[in-house]
Amino acid sequence: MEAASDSPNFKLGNLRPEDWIGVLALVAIMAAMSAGVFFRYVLNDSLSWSEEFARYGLIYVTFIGTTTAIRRRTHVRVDIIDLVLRAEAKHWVRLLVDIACLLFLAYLCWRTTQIMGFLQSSRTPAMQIPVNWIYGGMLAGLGMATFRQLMIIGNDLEELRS
Amino acid sequence: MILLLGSLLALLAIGVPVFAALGISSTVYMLVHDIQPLIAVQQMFAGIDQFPLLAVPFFVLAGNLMNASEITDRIYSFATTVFGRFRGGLGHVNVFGSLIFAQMSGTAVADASGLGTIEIKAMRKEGYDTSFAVGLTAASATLGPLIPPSLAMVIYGSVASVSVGQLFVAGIVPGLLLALSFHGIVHILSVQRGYPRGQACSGREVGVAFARALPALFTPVIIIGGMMAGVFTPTEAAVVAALYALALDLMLYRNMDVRSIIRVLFETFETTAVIMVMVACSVVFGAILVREQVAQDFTRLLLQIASEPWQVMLALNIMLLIAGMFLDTIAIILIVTPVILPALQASGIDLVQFGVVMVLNLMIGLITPPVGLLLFVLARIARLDFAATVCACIPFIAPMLLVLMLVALVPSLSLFLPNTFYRN
Repeated sequence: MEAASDSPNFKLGNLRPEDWIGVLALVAIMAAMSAGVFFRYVLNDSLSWSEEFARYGLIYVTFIGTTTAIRRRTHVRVDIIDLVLRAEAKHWVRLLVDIACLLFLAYLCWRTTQIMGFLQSSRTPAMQIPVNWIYGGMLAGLGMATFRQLMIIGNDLEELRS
Repeated sequence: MILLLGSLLALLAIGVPVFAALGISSTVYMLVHDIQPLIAVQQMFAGIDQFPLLAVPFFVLAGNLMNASEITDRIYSFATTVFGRFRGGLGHVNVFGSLIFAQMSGTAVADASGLGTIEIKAMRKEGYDTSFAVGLTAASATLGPLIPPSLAMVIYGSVASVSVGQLFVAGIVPGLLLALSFHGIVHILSVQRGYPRGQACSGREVGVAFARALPALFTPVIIIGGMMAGVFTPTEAAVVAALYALALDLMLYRNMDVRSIIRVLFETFETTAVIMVMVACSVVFGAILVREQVAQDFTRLLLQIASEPWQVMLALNIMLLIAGMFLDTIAIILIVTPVILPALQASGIDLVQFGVVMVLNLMIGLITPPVGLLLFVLARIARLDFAATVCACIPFIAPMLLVLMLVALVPSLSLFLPNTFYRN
């Protein structure tokens, strides 16, 4: 789960667009929550939007970060198969796994698009922004994840060939 | 139901990421049973659109910030001045340092990779066996999720609909017991093997080290104190802890540049997403479990073989220990909790107590083969091969099992504090 926290060779240049968007979303959540706490305890005046904003920000972070974790292969998985199989068999299983993930992500994209069709006129309770702005973030994240998964499969095939 | 669980296990076994394994098995089930699939997307959305879960990024961030600055070193030198003088002193320092660090971090891996690196290096230099150093560091890192704050407990609280504040407070006494049991085994092994004593420090030196570590030691006062006094919700406490850690780094220690701040933010972002996308998919999976009445069937089956609460407790613990050998902590909490909730309620086991039992149980899974997150992390840090790391951890499993048994069988160990502070 915390494979990310062990990167001593962290380089800013290795960050991709989705990483920067995700970090910005995280900072936005932090700012909103901090403002919420500050207003409530220091100014004794609750902000109506900060909680909702932060919750939706977390949805952005979740699905954009899914992309990052797919690219860097840092999603939580059981890696017992790596200990059992020989190198060549491992590559084939990995390809199979990546194709399964690709299909799932693409399927989710399709269903999310569908649901956005139904929610066109819905607005959020506190901020009164279109609900589809949040579902849109989910869709964008899933779409990028699908794209990265496709690239990963390309890598798999190249590894298999060599 | 066989389709659902069978496909999940098969997908997990070939190495499909947990989130996708949950999602794919649910999707296949929904297609076969002709369930409206759009519900699933809404369930994923609603599953992570929850205020308590906002604590996740902030507790991750607070831990990462502590690790990136010199806070960890200061905690370590303070622990050395206190415990260095005893036989096997650095062993005691290891436990005590982790205990302090646990009050700021919510995961075991943060502890092992930050403090653990310093501890193992120091212990090797002073002539301790590498296996003792590695095993102890792994074991003491498991204090992280038990002592509040705790990521695992935030997740359990959201799945089981239990107050996260109560769970946090309930973990304090079991966490201290675990630390005590580690001190015990360090003492026994050190005397047996003749590990060295460190230098005794004067009261003045202890005082100086304490003062240097004080800003960090103050964090639990904010988090635990604020929650127990009812000032903060756990989510707000997480925000305040992260802001406090950030303020310490930027204003007091000033050893973080823009690059390291971005690194910390990026790591927090990725870790948060990896956890939350599992939460999202597990909600869909959980809804199908409910529809299939899996939990009811499981309860009936369990109550047939186990009638007394202690028997239920034993059966569930054995199940969790086995699951913990293969699967990640958060993933197990997400998958298993909805299945066993009715059984817990039917046999009168308190959900807060069980949360602590579950986390403690799964911590053992972090240091048992074939899959154990802490084993992987420490094998890399100590440059030890996997089998040697596994062996190094074995002596420390005994005290963990002992404390697990105590906490499982004596409810008041975990429930005394939350009953005193929350339920009057």
